[in-house]
Amino acid sequence: MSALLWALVALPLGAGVLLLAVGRRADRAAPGIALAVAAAALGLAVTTAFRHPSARAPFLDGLPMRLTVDGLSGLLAVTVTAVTLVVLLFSATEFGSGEARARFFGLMLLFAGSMLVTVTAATLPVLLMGWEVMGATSWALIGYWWRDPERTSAADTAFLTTRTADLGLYLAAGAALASGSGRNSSLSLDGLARAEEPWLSFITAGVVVAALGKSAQLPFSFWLSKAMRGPSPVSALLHSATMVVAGAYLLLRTGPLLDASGWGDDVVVWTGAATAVLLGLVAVAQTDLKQLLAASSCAQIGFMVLAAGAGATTGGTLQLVAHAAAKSLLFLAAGAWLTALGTQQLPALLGAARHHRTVGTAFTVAALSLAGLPPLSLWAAKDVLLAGALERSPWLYAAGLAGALLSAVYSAKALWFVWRPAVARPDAGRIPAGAVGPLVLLAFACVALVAPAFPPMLDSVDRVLAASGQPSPHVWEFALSAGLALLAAAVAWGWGARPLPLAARVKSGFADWLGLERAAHVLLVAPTMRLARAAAAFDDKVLDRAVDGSASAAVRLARWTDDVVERSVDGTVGAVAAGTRALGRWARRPQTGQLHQYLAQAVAAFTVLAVVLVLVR
Amino acid sequence: MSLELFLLLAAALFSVGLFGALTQQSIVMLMMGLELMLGGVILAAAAAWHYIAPAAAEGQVLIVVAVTAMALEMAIGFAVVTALFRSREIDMTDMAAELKE
Repeated sequence: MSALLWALVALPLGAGVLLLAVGRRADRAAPGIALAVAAAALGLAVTTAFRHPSARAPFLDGLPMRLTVDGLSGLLAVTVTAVTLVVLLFSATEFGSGEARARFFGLMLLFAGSMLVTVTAATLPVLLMGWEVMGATSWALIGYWWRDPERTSAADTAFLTTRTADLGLYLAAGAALASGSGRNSSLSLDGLARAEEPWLSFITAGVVVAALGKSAQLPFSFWLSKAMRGPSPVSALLHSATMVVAGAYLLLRTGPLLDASGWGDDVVVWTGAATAVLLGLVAVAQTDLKQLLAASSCAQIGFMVLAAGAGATTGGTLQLVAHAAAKSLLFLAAGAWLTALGTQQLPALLGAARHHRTVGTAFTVAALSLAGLPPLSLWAAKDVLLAGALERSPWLYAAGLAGALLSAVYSAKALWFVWRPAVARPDAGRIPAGAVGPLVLLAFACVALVAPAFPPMLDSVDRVLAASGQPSPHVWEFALSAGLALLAAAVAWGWGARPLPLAARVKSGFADWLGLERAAHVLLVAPTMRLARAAAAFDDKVLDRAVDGSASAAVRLARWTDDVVERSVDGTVGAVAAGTRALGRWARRPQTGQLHQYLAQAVAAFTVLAVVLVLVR
Repeated sequence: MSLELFLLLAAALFSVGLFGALTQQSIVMLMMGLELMLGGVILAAAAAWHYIAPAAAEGQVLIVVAVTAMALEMAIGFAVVTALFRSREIDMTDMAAELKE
């Protein structure tokens, strides 16, 4: 049983590392290998999702490495592998032989494999391993075309931002270890909620920060805008099933922890709602298709975060899966147009859908799903999770509806541009037939995934996720959201490309992702750099100078010792020697060898002795 | 004559010789002092043999050996003095002080 689970994790990771290690020599075989591995992983994921195995290996003393598949991670494992397979299918035709395909497919497999580790991890250390490898590979993938300095700097921004938030997870792990219960439960994710205060608060804060950072929620959203510089399949995978949803997954997984802390769920709920609304506005303001989709990812994942906080696990999971299908399709279609038409600017994409009918239709299905229009998957999933928000507070429900309304607006805006009457495009490239298949597959998934949001399948989803007492929406909620979405989409369609009647500053603020990146620069990067510069100056002017000074002082002291002390010692020794020599010479003087002189000396000495004796007496 | 008289004579000879050796600066005179001292010693030894153990012939032999050694020493000493005087006109010990070095 556990062999299945190990294979599920090891297969993509091992194949990815292998492809990376072999390098360019494997370019020709890379797509085939990657597809085979992805297909096998999908099969393994489906099997494990039904069998719920768990595996364990010794790791640290008292902290075994544990992987486990339960309902939630099983669903996610299937989603991840399925989206990976489809995205790799698309990339196999999209990436020509001129590219470093072994590196690309190797990194993609590694990326998906680390996400699988993340979703199957049962303990924090394992989760952290997957989490970190995912961050590192996302950096390598965003900066895939590394000769372009803009792309590499974008990769750096994305990596550093998520990395900063990741520190939260280390804080959580440390706090979990510090609280005794964490030790007893081997840092297991399920045991986190049983920690004592104040560790509980630290754990919650760490987990929430890490999840918000990875999921590009406010205030970390800007990295996702930068991440758009990577290849389109990377964006498709990153936004739909890996990296960005990892944060939402973590929050769904640690729902009991958020409840137990007493404040974590409030923070999460309102952050999610605020992200859904504000980043929805940002998406509306974009003129670049990929940027629009990126902002919409933030907003849509905001719904999942909201669901995690509100305890609507089923709704959040449904949203996650449905969004994975829709968003990967949207990005792949955008990527296809980017290759064929050479642009991703909305004004330049006028009529793009009419040129490639199949791609256009698939894109439309996904966009309508994103807009929340019935009978597509995201419409129903969103209502299931918003029912949880309604139970919590009507204001939260209203915020959620506002976010849903905005999603209809930006989806309709994107659709309006691509369905304009066709303009002549003589230089347009062809979209390879192989790339269209995956898009159609995903479009069917968008439609089919509506079923689990309604009874009786909703109840079985509840059972699979082991989530009891989930709020279920009333019929009027479905109708309300559908009506609002239709209305908003119709208005947006009617409005077209006309500029919004808003102050220019407001518009540029939203177009610029709320200025979050500038704020991060002003609030974090600049002070850090200033501090670093001050520290460097301190180093140069004080520490370095002190070291140099002490060295030269030591030399001076040594020279002085040599000059003064050593010379006087030397002089003393010399003087003693000279004195002794003089004494010796002096003592030798009477020894003349002349007997008559000795007699004279003896006479003199005895005379003196006699005189002394007489005087002393 | 009795042993005491001989010993007295030997002591007188030795003392005269010692005085001469200590006071004279002329090398010849110094050597003559030494001769007298040695003569005193030999006289005392001969008298001691004659009066105390006349049966032991070894005493006679010892004295003959001492006389022989004295004669040899004197011969060499005078030869050296003669050579010194011939080469450097020296007849006083002070003048031969460089021999010390």
